[in-house]
Parts: sequence; structure tokens; C-alpha cells
Amino acid sequence: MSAVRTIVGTSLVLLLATIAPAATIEGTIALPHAMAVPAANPRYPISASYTVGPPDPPAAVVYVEGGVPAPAPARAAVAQHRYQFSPGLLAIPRGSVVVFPNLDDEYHSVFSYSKPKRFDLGRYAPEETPAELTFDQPGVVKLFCEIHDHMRGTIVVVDAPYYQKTDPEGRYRIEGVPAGRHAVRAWVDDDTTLERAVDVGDDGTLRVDLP
Amino acid sequence: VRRGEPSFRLKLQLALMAAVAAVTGATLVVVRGSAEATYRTIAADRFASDVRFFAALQDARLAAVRARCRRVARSVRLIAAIQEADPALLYKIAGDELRDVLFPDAEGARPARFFRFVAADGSVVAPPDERSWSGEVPDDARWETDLAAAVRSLDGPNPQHVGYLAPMIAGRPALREVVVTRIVDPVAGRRLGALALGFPVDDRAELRTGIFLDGRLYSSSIPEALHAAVVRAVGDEIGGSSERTVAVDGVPHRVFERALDPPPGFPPAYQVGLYASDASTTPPR
Repeated sequence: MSAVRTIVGTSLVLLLATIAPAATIEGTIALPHAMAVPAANPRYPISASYTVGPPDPPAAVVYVEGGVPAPAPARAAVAQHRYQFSPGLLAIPRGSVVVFPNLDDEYHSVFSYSKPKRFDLGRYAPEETPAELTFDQPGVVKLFCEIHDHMRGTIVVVDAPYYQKTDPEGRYRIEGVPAGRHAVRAWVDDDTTLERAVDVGDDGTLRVDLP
Repeated sequence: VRRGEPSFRLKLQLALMAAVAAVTGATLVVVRGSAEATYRTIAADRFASDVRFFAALQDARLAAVRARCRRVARSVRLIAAIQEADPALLYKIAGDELRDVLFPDAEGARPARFFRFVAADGSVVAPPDERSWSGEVPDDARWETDLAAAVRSLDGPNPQHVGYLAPMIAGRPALREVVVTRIVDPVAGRRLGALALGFPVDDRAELRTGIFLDGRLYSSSIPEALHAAVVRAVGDEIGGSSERTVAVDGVPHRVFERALDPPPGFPPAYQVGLYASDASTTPPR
């Protein structure tokens, strides 16, 4: 019965959100410098075709919290391609399902010790399909490959429907934000999460640059 | 010749005897002094040789462990665990990665007595409970301070140091050879902390040698009853006073000591040797 109430409540909130006045928040996040690609140091012997691609350029995840409806789960993928996670930074709403396809010629072994989602997919070849994972706790999940220790990835699980990953220049634009007092947060890296309280009007565009 | 006076012949004989005695005595004194100096030189050379041997033995013994520590410090699982600030997870992962150091299969290999992590802020990460084996649990809080100081010495270019610490174990100080290795995330270039592994010290029981650390002598080959006298002698010599001897079974032994050149952060340690200072006594071998 409570599940039905939750579904009905969420649907009403989403319906109100779609018909209620909404504003746009945009701005720029100060991003760290791109990291140099470290020398590959694979744990196991590798083939001659082993070529490490460049990691994704720095980006941040911006999301709006406080007085917003629960997010609808989504489905996403973090591939292993050219011995990097692709994308290197993924933003998903809580409850989303993520798959981890191996697009390289060799095994990968993806794991995370982060508290919001601890998992270890074990070794899997390109033709194998590792388990799909549901990320039902908000927070930051750091991704590693046991075989290729230079590979790093991050999944930011947000508990809000209003979020976006910035472009490489740090720009973002989040539309449809309901009126009210909210917090704009930006996850930048392991040491940096920026935040600002904002009052969003019925419409128009609010500019929020961080910091 | 007057009556009652010794004859000229007698005077001559007495004078000759005195001269011979004086020359003989002087020769004996010179020869004895020379022999003692020679023996002192031989003993000093032997001690220097033993110190070199000790250092080479330590290097050979620790080479595999040092390499293993460097590999573990780069382990992606360890780097992932230390970033989560979860001691239970960290010690569990490290226990798996260090299994061959903690429980070596090779005959004669010394298992580590403890391992600890020191966080990037310099604090020792306490093992969560006994289930995650991290070895000896020292009685004194000062040990953590010493360990943190040893790890701070890794701020320099060298990512690994070996030194001596003496934590209190079951009420007694126990000498440990400690290998500290910096842990750096090679991707982000960020210092995450350090790994410290402690081993029992092999002081080569066939020689009368030991390690002098923090005002105490650690040796299984120098009788316990002599430790106080040796400590006094070493303390005097380090303080700059003249050489000292200690009697072993009635035979005077010279005390040699030499700084083991510990890395910064570790307390100063000295190797100590006892060698018979009487040339007629074979040095203990």
C-alpha cells in the first residue's frame, strides 16, 4: 500500500513539476587542470595491441537539491575503451542501472570500494557481459580496474532530477527547476564539492558560477 | 779497595744487571704497547668489517621485502581502499596483499610482526579489531608518535626508509626493524599515506653484537647481566669520553659502537660489538 502511495505521490510531484512555472540555472564551474596520462603499469602481461587512450578532460557534476522531487531512475553505461573508462565521469539519478561493457581486446576487472556502491565485477573478456548494477544510494562511486591501474572513473549518484555534467570548460545549464529555495552543488573532484543556496523564481534564468 | 766496600767487579756486575733489566723492561713495555695497539687496530677492523657485513646482510634480507612493499604501495586495490578512509576495509585488503610477507613460505624467512598504515595527515590508522590481522599491538601510545615521525621522514625524495623502533610489547621493549613506504596515487599524484612493516631483528647470535637504541641494548648474544655495563660504556663513548672496556668472564673486552645512519625521523641507532682487548684471547667468532 505504501508503495502505491509513493508512486502516486511521486507522479503527482512530477506532474506538478511539469505544469508548474520553472526556471533555468546556468553558470560555470572552475575545473581543475587536466592530469597528465600516467605511464601504464598493467598488473598482468598484455598484448602488443595495448594502446592507452587519453582520459576524459576534467568536468564537474552540478545538481540542484532541496525541495525537488525524487528522480526517475535511468539506464547508463560506463564502457572500457582504449583502456580508459568511457565516460570517465558519469552522473546518474539514484536508482539507476549501469552496465560496464568491455570494448577493448583484453580482460578488464572493474571494482569499487566506495560506500554508496561496493562491487567487484571480476575479470571479463570483451565477449562477456558483466552484471548490471543498480546504484540506489546517492554519493560518489570511484571506479578502478584491477588489471590496468591507471584507469580511473567516477559515478556521481544524485538524489535529484535536476543535474548535469559540465562541458570541458565547466559550463552547465539545468532547465525546468521549480521555484523555491534550493542548493546548487557541484562535485568537482575528490577534494572539492562546491555549494551555493539560491532562490529560484517562477521563470527566467539564474546564473550561478562556482566558486 | 777499602774493607767493607763492594769490589769494582761487583759494582760493574750490578750496573750491568741494572742496565740489562732497564733495557729489557723498556723493551717489554714498548712491545706490549705495540701489541695492544696492533690488537686494537685488528679489533677495530674486525668491528668495521662486521658492521659492513651487518649492513650487507640487512640489505640482502630486506631486499625482497622492500620490493614487495613498493609493489603493495602501488597496488590499485590498496590505493582504492585507503581513499575510502575505512580502516576495516584497508586492513583486510592489505592483509591479502601482504600475505607472503606476513606468512612467508620460504624456509628461514622472517614473518613481519606487524603492519600499520599512517594516513596522509600523519596519524596512525588504528586496526579496527583483531579479525583484520595487523600483528603486535604495542602497549604504549608513544610508539604511534615514533611511527608517525618515521613516516614524516618520507617527505623527502626517498619513498622508502628502514630504521629501528622499540615498541613496548607485553611490558618489554621489543626491537623492530621497520620498513616505511610512501603510498602515492600515481594517477592523481597525491600522497595518500604510508605503509609500515615491522620485523624482528636478527642480531647474529654467533657474535657478541647488538643494537643500541634509545638508551637500551638489544642483543641475544651479549649476556643480559652485561647490558647495563655495555650501555654505560656506549653512552660514555658516544658522549666523547675515552674508550671503555667490559669484563666478560674475567677477560676485558673493548666496546665498539658505530652509528647505523638511520634515516631522518627514526631515532638514532648504533651497532655495538664486544671484542676481547687482550691479545692472548681469541676474539669471539
